[in-house]
Amino acid sequence: MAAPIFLFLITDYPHMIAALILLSLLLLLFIRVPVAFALGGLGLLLLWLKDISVVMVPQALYSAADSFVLLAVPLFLLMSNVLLKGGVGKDLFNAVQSWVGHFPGGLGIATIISCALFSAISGSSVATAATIATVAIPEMIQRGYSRPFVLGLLAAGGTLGILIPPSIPLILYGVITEESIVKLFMAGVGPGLLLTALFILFSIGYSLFDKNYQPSPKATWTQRWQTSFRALPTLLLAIVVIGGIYLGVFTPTESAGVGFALALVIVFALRTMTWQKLKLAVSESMVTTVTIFLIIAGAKLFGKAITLYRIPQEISTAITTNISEPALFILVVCLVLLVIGFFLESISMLLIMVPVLFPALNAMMIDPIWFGILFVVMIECALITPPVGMNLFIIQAVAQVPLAEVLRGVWPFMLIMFGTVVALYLMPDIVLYIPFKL
Amino acid sequence: MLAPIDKISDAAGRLAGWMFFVIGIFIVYEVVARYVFLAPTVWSEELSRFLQIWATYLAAAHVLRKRQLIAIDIIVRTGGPRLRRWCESLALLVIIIFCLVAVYFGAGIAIDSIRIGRASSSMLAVPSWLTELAIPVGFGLLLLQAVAELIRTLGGSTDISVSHH
Repeated sequence: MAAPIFLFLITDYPHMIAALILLSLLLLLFIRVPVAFALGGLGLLLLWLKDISVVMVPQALYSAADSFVLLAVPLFLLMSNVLLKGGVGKDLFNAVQSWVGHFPGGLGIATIISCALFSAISGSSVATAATIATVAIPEMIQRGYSRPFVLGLLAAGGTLGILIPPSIPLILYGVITEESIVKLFMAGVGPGLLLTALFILFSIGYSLFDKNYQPSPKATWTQRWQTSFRALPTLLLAIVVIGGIYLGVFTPTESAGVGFALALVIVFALRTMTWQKLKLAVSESMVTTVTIFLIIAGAKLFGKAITLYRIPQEISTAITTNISEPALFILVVCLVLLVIGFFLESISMLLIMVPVLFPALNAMMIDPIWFGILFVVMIECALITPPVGMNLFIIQAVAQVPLAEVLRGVWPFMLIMFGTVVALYLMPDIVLYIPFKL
Repeated sequence: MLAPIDKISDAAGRLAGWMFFVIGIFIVYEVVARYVFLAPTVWSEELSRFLQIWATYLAAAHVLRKRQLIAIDIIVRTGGPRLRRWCESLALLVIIIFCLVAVYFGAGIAIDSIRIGRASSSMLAVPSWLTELAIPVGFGLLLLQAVAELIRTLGGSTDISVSHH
């Protein structure tokens, strides 16, 4: 009964259908249907309304998980979780602190460098923020750094996890768009280092104005060598993983597998791993992987369905006929992502929005690798913007403070990130130099 | 009465976790075989993908039980317990309907493959139904778990704002 009316709407009012689908999706999400099933369920409904065989449902579910490239996701998660349970976060922080702790704002610098280093063995911002926060927050508060600054610093520093390779969002972006994950990883290095440098500069600047903190004493050379010796294997691991991908010795998936095996060797050699901790690492990696993969499966089905309704094509045409300037397009995309980022979690944001926006890139002459990095920087912003910002929640949970206090510290870092987006636009080589010109 | 379902889901979840672990070992073995023994394997990639499909869907029920599926909380969190219970029931209903379709049509595909003897086009020629079965089995477990959670929610025996860690 309903189907013929619906078909008439599709052919005559494509915009209305697009709006209707979007509204239904929002409705499902707001009544707290898990993202994977909101996407999958809506996809199923759309197929059924168009009289397309729903055999496509199990087929899409099957093909979503049948991917060698995606294997990198569980393996990178296993690698970083094994290291994490082996207490590597503390080792890294101690080592970095022994070198830079006595500088002005030294603990802030140590925190950001630790975040950047941990990012090189972790593909997730949440893991990065949680790991470094656990060791850095008590230390910094004890030394009298202002609490909002400390909380903001860690929420923002943690977001480096997805920009500096390896990166789970970049793997997913590569899978959706069929762009090279190696190129995407390398493209993340430049902007990752830029953000790290800006965060460090901000920490130094902040500490020049805030005189309430006590500088850390300078570490002795014995302390430096002792702490660095414990952190060294992890650094070498990061070099093998990223260097191996860069030189083409391993595919990203293989590099993740090798990294995982080496991580096991390191934590057992350092004697910091127990059977209980290993079980925990395995189970946590599994849960994160499966939540991501289920959303991928749901998004795949949803993507297929809306393509049959020609929604991405419609949106792409609407964009290209109304917006002729790439700059304006980027601005609109950033604003849309910012708004979506207020309430949608980052992986879902990527899996829903990339397929919709990607067709327009070609017409706009925008480099897809560059766009991937831009997208990830926007995800970083989303991670620290309320009301839904995973890193805010993590920091809030680790530090046991009200959310408002985290928010007071986080806004300068949001401004730094917006500045970075502008810099990436004006100087695309920050992104493209390493993958294409080196 | 619902406890056995929880137990099955958790066991499937544990199994899935170690499947990912084994995938890691396969991949490393492949790298070693290629660079050290100079003899790449024919099985590591295909078996890894096989395990990944199984692990992903076997664990779905466990992830639902642990309330770890990613969802948007803002509106429901601010509402009262009545609203939360309604939303939770509706969400579970969506999951249940989706599972029914996945199980029914997924099983159909696997049965088809058995009948016509479909196999993977690689050197291993793994019978296709062995992997395709992961969909009806995984979503079958998820269906059971979702029904169990729905019974609990309607019976009011769980507070859905708290995850069952």
